[in-house]
Amino acid sequence: MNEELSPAEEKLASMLSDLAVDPTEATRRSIMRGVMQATARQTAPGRRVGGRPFWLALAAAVVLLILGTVTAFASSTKALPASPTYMIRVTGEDIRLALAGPKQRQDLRVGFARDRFQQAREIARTDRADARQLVSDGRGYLAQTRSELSSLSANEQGEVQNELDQAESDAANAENQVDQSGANQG
Amino acid sequence: MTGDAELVERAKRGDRTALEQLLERHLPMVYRFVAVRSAGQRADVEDIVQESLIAAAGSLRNLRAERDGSVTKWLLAIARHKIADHRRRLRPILQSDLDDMHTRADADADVAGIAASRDRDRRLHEALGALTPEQAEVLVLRFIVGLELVEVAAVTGRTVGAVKSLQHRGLASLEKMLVLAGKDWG
Repeated sequence: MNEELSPAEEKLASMLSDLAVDPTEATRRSIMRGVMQATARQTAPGRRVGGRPFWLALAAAVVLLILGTVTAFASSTKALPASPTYMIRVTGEDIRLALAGPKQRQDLRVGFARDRFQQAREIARTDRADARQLVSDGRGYLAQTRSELSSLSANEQGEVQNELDQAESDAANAENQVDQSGANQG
Repeated sequence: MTGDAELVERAKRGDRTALEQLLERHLPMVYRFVAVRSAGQRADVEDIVQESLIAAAGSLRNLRAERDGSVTKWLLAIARHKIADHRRRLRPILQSDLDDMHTRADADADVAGIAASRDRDRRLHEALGALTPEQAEVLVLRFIVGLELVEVAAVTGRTVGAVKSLQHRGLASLEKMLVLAGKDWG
């Protein structure tokens, strides 16, 4: 690794290498076991890595088409996690994500997350459990965006990072409000 | 040995053996990166590495691995975000944490030897901190994380020539600082 280094540089490089912290064999095995178990859940039959199965989205789209009056769908966009229509809301979001390009997908995710944080603040006093779940689901969208950030161009990464920073601030505010309402009730 | 690009393509098609081989291959590099960046306790480092690899598996479909260093760049970007996620929860840096994490065979060394080694590590950490951020980043990625020049270039978005230059200047500054400290750094 130390091609073209002078003897003094090689000595320094070797001292720096001594600062490296390597995982033990047991640690490597333990980490890989956890990773493969988690990814097995993600890639179980009918699922693809990193998303909900396509057939589920398709089936839900058909169901929406048959059942779906525009009003039913529109009302589901504000559905709360405890409501049966929350699944329609999530599936509708999935369909929009599936149809979006890479950058637009991240914009949508951040938007879905911020909607949830805003909604969590609105219901923090009256429905704390749903508010908590909304914050958690919103954070899930942000985590997905962060994990896919590197697939965007440098400019797009900058834009999405700004959106993420604002969304993180929204999330913290929503969490504070939910916690505060819990403390007041307690 | 099968190349990263082939493993990525096979893993995208649902080949779990390829996925495992790909992630296992890069695990030590991610671990060293997380350990040096987060300076947390070993359990925290393991958690962050595991979460990073799970997120990587989840976003694999967005990865284009046709260029050298693409997988490294992608994994380190994910790890960077995971470190940021954990940062609020991590304890402040304690030298004892770093000492605990080192896997060198301290047990067999004499007490004076251990003290000298730790003193040298501390001086090296201080000297690294006094370099320009660009030089420190290159030296850390190159010699502590253990990346090749071309990988450092991919991760930092610089040319190999620029990385070599930063490496050379960084090592020269490091040597000067250690000599000025008035001790035999060899």
